Amino acid sequence: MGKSSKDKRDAYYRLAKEQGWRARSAFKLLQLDEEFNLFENVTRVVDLCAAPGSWSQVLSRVLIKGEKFGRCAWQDREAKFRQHMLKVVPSETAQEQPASEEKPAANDELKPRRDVKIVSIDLQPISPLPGIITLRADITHPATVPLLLKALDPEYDPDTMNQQASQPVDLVISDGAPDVTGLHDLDIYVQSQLLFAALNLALCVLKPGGKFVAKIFRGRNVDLLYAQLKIFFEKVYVAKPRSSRASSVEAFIVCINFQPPEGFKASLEEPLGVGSRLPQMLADQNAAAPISAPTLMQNYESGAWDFRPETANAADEHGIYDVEVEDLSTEPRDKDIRWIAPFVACGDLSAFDSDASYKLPEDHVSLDPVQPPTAPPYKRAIELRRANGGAYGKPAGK
Amino acid sequence: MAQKSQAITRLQHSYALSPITALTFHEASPDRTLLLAGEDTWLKVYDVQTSRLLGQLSVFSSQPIHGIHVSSSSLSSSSSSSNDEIHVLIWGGHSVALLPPSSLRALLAGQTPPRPAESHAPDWIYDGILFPPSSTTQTASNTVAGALVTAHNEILPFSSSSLTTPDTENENENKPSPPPPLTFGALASPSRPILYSANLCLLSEGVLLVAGGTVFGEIIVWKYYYDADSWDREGRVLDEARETGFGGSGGGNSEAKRENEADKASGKNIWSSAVLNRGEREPLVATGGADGKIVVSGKIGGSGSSDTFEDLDLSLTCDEILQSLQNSAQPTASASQTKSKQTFQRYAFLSNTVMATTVSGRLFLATMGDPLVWEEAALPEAVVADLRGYNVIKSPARDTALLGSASGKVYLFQKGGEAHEISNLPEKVSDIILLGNSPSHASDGRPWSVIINILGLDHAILLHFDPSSNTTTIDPRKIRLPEHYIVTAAAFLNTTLILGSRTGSVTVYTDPDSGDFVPLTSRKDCKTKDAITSIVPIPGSNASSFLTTCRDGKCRIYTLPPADAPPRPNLQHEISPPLNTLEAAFFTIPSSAQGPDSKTELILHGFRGPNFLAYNDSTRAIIASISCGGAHRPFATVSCPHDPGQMRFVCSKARDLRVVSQSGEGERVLRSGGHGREIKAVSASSDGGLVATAAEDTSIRIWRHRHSDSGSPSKMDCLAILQGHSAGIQTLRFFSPPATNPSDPNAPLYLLSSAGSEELFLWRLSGLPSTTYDALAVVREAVWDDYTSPDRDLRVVDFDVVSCPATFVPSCCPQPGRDDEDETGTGFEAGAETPTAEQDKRENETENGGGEMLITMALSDSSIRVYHYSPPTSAQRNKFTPLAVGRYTGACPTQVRYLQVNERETETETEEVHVLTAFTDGHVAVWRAAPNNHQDNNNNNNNKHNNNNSGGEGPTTQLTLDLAVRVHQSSIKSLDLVKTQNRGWLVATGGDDNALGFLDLAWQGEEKEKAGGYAVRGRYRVRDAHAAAITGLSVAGVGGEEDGVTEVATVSNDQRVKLWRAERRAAGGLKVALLDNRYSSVADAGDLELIAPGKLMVGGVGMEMWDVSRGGIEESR
Repeated sequence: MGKSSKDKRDAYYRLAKEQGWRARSAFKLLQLDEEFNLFENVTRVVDLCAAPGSWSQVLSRVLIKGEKFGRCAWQDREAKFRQHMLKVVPSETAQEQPASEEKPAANDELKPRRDVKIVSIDLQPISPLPGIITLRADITHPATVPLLLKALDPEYDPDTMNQQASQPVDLVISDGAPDVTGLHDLDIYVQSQLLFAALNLALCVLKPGGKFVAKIFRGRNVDLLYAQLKIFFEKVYVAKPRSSRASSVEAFIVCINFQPPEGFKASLEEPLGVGSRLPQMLADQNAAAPISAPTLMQNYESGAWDFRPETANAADEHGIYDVEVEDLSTEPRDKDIRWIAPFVACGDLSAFDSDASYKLPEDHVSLDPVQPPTAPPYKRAIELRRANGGAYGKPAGK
Repeated sequence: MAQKSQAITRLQHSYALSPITALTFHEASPDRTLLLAGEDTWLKVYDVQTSRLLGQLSVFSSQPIHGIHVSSSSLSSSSSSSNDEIHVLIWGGHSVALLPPSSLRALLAGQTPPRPAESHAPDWIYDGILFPPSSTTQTASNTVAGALVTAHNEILPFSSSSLTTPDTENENENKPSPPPPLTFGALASPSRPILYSANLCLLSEGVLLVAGGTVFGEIIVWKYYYDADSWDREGRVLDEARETGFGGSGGGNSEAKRENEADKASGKNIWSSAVLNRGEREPLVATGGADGKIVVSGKIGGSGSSDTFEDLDLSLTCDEILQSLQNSAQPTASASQTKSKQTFQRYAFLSNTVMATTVSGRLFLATMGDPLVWEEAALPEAVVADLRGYNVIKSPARDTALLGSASGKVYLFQKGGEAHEISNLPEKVSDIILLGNSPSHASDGRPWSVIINILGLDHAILLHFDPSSNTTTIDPRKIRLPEHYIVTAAAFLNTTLILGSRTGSVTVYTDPDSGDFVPLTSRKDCKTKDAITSIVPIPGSNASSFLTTCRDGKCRIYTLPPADAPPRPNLQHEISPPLNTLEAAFFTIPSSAQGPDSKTELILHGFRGPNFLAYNDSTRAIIASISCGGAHRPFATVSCPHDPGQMRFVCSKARDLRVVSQSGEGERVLRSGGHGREIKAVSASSDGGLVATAAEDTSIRIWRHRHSDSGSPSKMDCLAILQGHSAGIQTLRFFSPPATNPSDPNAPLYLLSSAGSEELFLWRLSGLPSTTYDALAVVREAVWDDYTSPDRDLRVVDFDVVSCPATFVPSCCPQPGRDDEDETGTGFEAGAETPTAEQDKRENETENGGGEMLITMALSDSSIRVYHYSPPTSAQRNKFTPLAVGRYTGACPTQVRYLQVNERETETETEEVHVLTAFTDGHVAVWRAAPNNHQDNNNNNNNKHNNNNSGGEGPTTQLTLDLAVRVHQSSIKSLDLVKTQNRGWLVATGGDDNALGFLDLAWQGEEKEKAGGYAVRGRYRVRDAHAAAITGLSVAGVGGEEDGVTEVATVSNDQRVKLWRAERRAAGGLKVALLDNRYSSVADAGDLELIAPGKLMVGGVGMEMWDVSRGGIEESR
């Protein structure tokens, strides 16, 4: 796919180049922030699996330079116009229109925050970013903890073997994904291990009340992961920004208000995600929780106990009624504790659609990527493929 | 509300095809080799010799098997241990199970043993091994011990302490007790970096070698010492992990991304493999793919009968052959001086004899066998001189060859005899074409005929041989050729002659009693100037159909019209087998010895890359793949028509002569697979007999679905693979035209497919008129070509199709003449027509064959487009005419369905089309258009917003948005609807937001203002219906007597299939119950379809089928 064609197919690829982002994924973090106010009162952040650095770039521009990004960064003006014309959005949104007509962020007065500390870690080298400490390290390795603690707090003494940050951080983010093999089972497992690696580090450096955001693959047994993350945070959401393709299994887990369980001590020597420590914690917590009926079993009409619950009666703000389900299935439940995190779509409806193709003006000039990958893991594969005569092998008969 | 007592509908698993993720060989006895395969949660045991599935067992409840280890009886090859002591260790993810010997015995006997206890290891398992019973320390013999390697590079020892007694005393025990769970040892240090793959190998008793591949591409090798007595206490790592350099840069997981040469075409991954070393003989190699296919390559002990072809693979230089002649002291004294001048020119197989001519005109023969013993045919000097520099040879019969020379002479050579000149023609013999298409020679003493092509002559010559008189005669009837026509293939269908040309034309001849053969009609379907390489009558078709192979890589089947109709052959079938060029084809002749199940199969020969390939198109197996250096070289083959695996091949490779002979197929398909990548769409014909699947691998497969009525497993046979799309396929739909004659089994059936790159294809399906060759004929009848963007880079995300009402047919037809010019570029239509045939079609136009379609498609640029399609039998053949266009906000559509297509019945009514669409923004929208009301609509206000996107220049109407409502937070990934009473619809939607949505929609007629024809009665949502996006949804049933009850099935990326019952309450609102919730073997599900009443099919990574069983049938688990 050529650059120009990709510009049409992928609006965020084009926007990222136009707005100087290293990767389109910058919009994912911006849209997550818009929904969850991730950067509110945040000054100390750790960015894991940061390469090529687009999330760190967001941190740098928002926290250090004090830029503001709003919906106008990713709004499709034509879509907004057409929504009103076609009456797809209710009219009260139309009244908001002047408010959302924000000026481009760069023109605003910059409001840099004080005492900002941002540490970015990746296996791959990250091109330097103003005000950000970059570390090249493996987040799954125990030796990374002292490195990170030292970067966060220059007075940290690695000889103490302490694995808890003296000056913890407000937010830990991770956009890491493994090189997928195509074997779904394995890919989901490796991704979950990457998530656990990020969580293990986060548990060492996050302050109570802090936030944790990480990429997750919504596949089989994702509800086990949700349940396990819920041990440590008051609220856990699974969020899908509009800039993340609907056709992708990717989503982001947004964990709010870090509340480490009593007596819990994080340690990479005894990490979560391997062994039985986490399932045991979950079982203990579950056993301690009060037993409650899954649904209300009182019949509104008769006043008697009834196993056929009625629909909840209130419609949401979009006029949709939520229906309680009567479970008549007989499949025996496994002993695993599962929980489905609430789904939140991020980025409003007028955001560019990452699945749609856009018509570009005749005079559109396709820009070069801001920051080509420094050392992508697939580099050698591309070289080998080229040597062998391109993506589809050598032409027949040659 | 009244409690209705009703039996709860459940789901019952009835079919699955999943990636093969584990394979291992097991030699049960010296002459019985088993292959144990892991397919999803199932362990399947195959007999390699017979290719039969012996038994199967679902080992885990919801975890695919990743590996299988069969205990070796003992390291110190004690032959005393029998199968009875074989344990099978199985793992997948965190799950581990140990099958006791009794279970394997049961599987071999075709019984289903009890499911073993599923133990959960504390980490992901990559490999496992069972320790042989210790020879030194006699521990408790009922303990089975072993080790697992985890994803964090740890050895996890385990044991199973209380298995039933190892002795075989319990033979008469009817019900073996289910084995107990395993006891795991402790993980020493769980905090190592993760591995992408790991393997175990037992070096010697007490020593394990561990190899792991890291994310950095390094390979770590270390040893683990254990004590058979007390591993749980003293097991320790002695050699600390040591990084080694070898192969370190190989780039990732060793088990993934290895491509089997045979399956390169489908781009699939091989997920599992096994090798069985057999000493002297070549090893057996089994591979299992993402497509669910299991292939065993390597020769499997054949029948060994003397009739079979020998196994031989030789490369000889001309000098070596001359040398061998001298060694055998033949009187060929002049041989040595011609050294290095000799090269081979042409080849033929005279049954058991291979024949080669050289550039210098000499003729060598060898009887097939090991070694090849060469002799030179004694030819007169004059003949050698005549054949020097140029010659052609063909073998029309056993031990017989015809030779043609540059001077126009034709010689008959019979083995043991001499070469006689039988004909002296005016010009160079450019080719000799055999008539009759047997892959080998029939018995002796049959008459034969050939066509001789003479350079520059306006006709070809038909030559007959009469064995009774041993004479040849030239037929007095000349075969008249069109100008510049070079014959490359020929066949007689009864007495009708069909020729194929060097430039790809197929010509039908008159059937003269006397006088010359005159061309009657000709057609060319090959887009390039590639030669027709063979013409083969379809067996059992009563000489009405024939097959052609072409160097463009396509295989086509034509049907001759009935005698009273115009003679133009009808292209019924066109496929691209996985070969680059096709050189020959034949149909197998099943012999009675092969049993009643054996069928007539189509075998194709051709080239792919540097190899010559023999390919079974019916079983899609590669019979032989012979490295020869590529196409464009002289070669000859001979095959056994009863057993196409037996074949011989000879060709030139560089200056060498290469001879290959094989006694059987080089590979055997134990399980034929499906798509190599995720299935994105599933559709079924209206009678449920045919099912089509389409995948990210850009191919479409058509399957015959067979099932007996009640709960028996379904069978799926792949009938055809359609290639042609260049991007991942989005949607498939069958379309049955309202049949003019409903009882006609050959009524046309269409399959429509859409993909990226603005591709929408129409495929016409039909049965072949053959009593013996059972195949589905498919031809791509049309390609949508009204491209809307200059780069053609939009996706046709979804479409719907109905039969087009007569009043929708556009009144203003484009000029047919101009169309033809436009269409020549596409080349997909019927090719050059003779004027008479065109005329006939015009006359037929009033009798509409029913192929008129109304197609509404949704494109990724947020547009909805309505088209009229006219089939080739109509006046505007293969023409897509735009009728209406609508454009949404910019969000990408995901679904489109017709709600109503209203035909105009009276003058006052307008015909209208009403379409329902869903989008990535979570909205459902309804659109309306009156396609033939251009004058009214073209001037309305909306049209000015449309001026930048109407791709077709034809007059189009605006699709107006009647209704748009939000149902989901984000993308609507699946949708189905059911018509309810009072002109209403219940629309069920599956969202990316994990929710199941219901939209109660009603048509209020024209009572209200025109813009308000549709109303929403209610919108309902089941939050967290699944743990991940709901990617497939289908209405599974509608309550009969109790109206308002709809059963909906959903499938999600969380790998659960769920069945729901939605009941409209009298007081308003919707009541939803979850009826069933089952593990699905299909990862990344792309579609869920009701393919027949009560039969649900899920497509994704593999496919599976569920029976919707009513009446409370409980599956015994």
